[in-house]
Amino acid sequence: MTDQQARELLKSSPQKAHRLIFDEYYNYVYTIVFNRLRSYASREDIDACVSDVFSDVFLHYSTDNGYSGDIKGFIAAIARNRSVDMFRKLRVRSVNTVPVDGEEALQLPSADKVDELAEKAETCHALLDAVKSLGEPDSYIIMQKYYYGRKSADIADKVGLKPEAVRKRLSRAMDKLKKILTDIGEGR
Amino acid sequence: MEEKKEFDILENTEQSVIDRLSEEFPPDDAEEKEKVFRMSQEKLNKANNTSKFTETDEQTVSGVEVVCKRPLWKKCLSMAAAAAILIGGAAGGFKAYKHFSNTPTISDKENITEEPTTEQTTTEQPTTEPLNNSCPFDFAAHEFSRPDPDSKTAIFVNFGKSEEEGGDGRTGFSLRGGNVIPLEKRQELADFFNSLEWEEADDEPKVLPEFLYTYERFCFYSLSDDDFIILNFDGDQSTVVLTSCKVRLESDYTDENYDPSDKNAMNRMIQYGAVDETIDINDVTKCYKIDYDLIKSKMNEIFGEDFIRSYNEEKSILNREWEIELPFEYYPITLNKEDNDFIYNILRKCKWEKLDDTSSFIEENMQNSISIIDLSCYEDNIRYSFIIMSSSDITFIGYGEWQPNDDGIEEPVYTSSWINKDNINAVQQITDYINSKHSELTKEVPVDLSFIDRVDWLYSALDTKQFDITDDKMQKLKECLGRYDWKMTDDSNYFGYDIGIIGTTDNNNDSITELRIGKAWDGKTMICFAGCEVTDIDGKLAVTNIREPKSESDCLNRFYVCDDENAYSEIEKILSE
Repeated sequence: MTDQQARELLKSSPQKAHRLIFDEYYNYVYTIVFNRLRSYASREDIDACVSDVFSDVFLHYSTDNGYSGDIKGFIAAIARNRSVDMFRKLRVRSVNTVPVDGEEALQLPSADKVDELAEKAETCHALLDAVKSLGEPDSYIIMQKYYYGRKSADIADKVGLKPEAVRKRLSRAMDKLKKILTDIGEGR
Repeated sequence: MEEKKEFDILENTEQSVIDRLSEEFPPDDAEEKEKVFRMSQEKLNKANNTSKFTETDEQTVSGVEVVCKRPLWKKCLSMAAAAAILIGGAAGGFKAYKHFSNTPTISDKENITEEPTTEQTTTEQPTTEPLNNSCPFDFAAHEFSRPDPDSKTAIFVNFGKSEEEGGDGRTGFSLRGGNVIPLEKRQELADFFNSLEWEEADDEPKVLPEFLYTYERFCFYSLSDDDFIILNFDGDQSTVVLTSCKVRLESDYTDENYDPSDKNAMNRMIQYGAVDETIDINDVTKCYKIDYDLIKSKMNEIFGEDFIRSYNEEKSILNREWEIELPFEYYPITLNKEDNDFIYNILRKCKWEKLDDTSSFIEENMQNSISIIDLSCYEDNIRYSFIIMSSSDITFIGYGEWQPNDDGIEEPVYTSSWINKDNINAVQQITDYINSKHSELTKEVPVDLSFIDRVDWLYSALDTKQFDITDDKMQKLKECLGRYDWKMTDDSNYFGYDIGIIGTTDNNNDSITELRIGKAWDGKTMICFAGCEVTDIDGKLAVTNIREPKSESDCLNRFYVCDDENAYSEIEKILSE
């Protein structure tokens, strides 16, 4: 759906537009929010944040309200802002103060940090390449389990295996992944 | 968990990685996605809505949570009454309620209509106090309904104020919408109720462990104009609990995005509140003794034999297919309904006291237990356990639900322990009964390869190695299996079978057998003739579950291993021809 189509549909049939926008960008928004809040928020908090993003989008993205830019960029900006907002709220709940140079402090890009960030991104891509090279369903199982934190039983339902089989595959896949990453590290 | 830490680096990363995660490894939870969509719509509606609405306290409008400073018996009655309402099929009501918690109130009273009812005239009379032991309610005068468990309308009747409003938290009833009972039947019931003696219940109700309840109960309710009356009939307590008060409509909300495929979703939610917010649910509730069997019999006569849909609560032991491990026996046996009923009837007769500190009690009193009965079963990744122990003067029972965490370690989800001192023979009675009935099941049953002749073998199972299956090949397989020595084993936890052959007996798709072949955890070849449950995938039968229990006389659902390391490869060679 193009931006123009989204705006026209929002005018003529808002409910339908909401559904289409939601379906198109849910994974994207969820990924952004989850990526920020993975270690700090419960599943419920993450869901609440994602739903906040979309209700903001539905409320504010229309020609009448003035924002007429790229919808994806607009959604991404709201998602980042909302997740940072929730991150701060959650941190306030659990700690009284956060040292500026502590790990919990929100990392903002700066000239000093650009190299670090670039290196981290490169490592992330290498990790994702390695996971992808495991093939299906192992790559799916590993990411759902260790990145998204799903339970083996839930993953088993998705891939049509028994939970025990999923656990076995996880163990073998992790062994393989570690070997791949070790080889990469040694420059093979 | 170390493995999870390996992926921490992906957290809080830059946009190119996020784009990739979104495209190549998106979240994959359709249920969660739909929930989030509903949440976003609610928030949008709230933001757009200019009506004043009442924020209710999600956590306290449960229908079962009673903040009560009344005597114990009234608290029990309130909880039983409210819980009983859940039998009306409000299992989805709580979820729906949280979904709809921020719905707008209506300023004008709207006409609430349920499913179409027959035209009738009624004479409405207020509920009167009973004279002597006469019936305390007029069943004909009010439009009583039976909650319909399949209804997609949730009705809530609330008492008190939420904590945010300065109260102790709201309590009340959660119901499913129902059809008004025709006047003719209501009159018949009114005549029946009027013929009975009505005596208020004593102060001390029978207290049973929650897992020993039959949850045999039903209810009727009336919501007409501003009157609310509900009758909760409880088979376990042999009581009917009557609650009656004035109510007002608080909100009536229909979900435009209702998804009929979501079994827990509600289409409509109607909220009522007691007009007098200061009253407690106990203030408007009375409890009467009844002959439950007599009343139930009358209900069946008037409404039909399926009047009371069985709704054994999930914590009732009657619901489970228990396996029992008896002392000195190698193999667990599976109990049937008759066995469950026997255990239940023994235990229900005892007077139980709840234990708060199980560990200390067992350490101090049960170290020299004379006998132990240990029941367990597995359903949906939860292990249910039920232990009965007796010492010289005490019987202990403990019920638990255990679920593995992400590290695979079992953690308790729910536990409940009770003791009694008046039937120390319970364990022995149960043990003697089970021994007499099930001794056959513990013996060694040799593998019976003639099973292969009795099954019409069709094809390889969808999630295993694929082979062409013919009668000739199966005969060769049978001969091959006959050349090896198979021993029965109960160690099937790590049976990684990768050959599955599906067949039917008597050309009956309900009688499915899967011959499973693979390797045990130690590499030994293992086989099992598994009686299965199946589902249809693209015209093929796919196994979903293994049926239990084991049969008494044949090798169905038993596991066999052989020590010969050549067995598996020979089997695979035959099937690959």
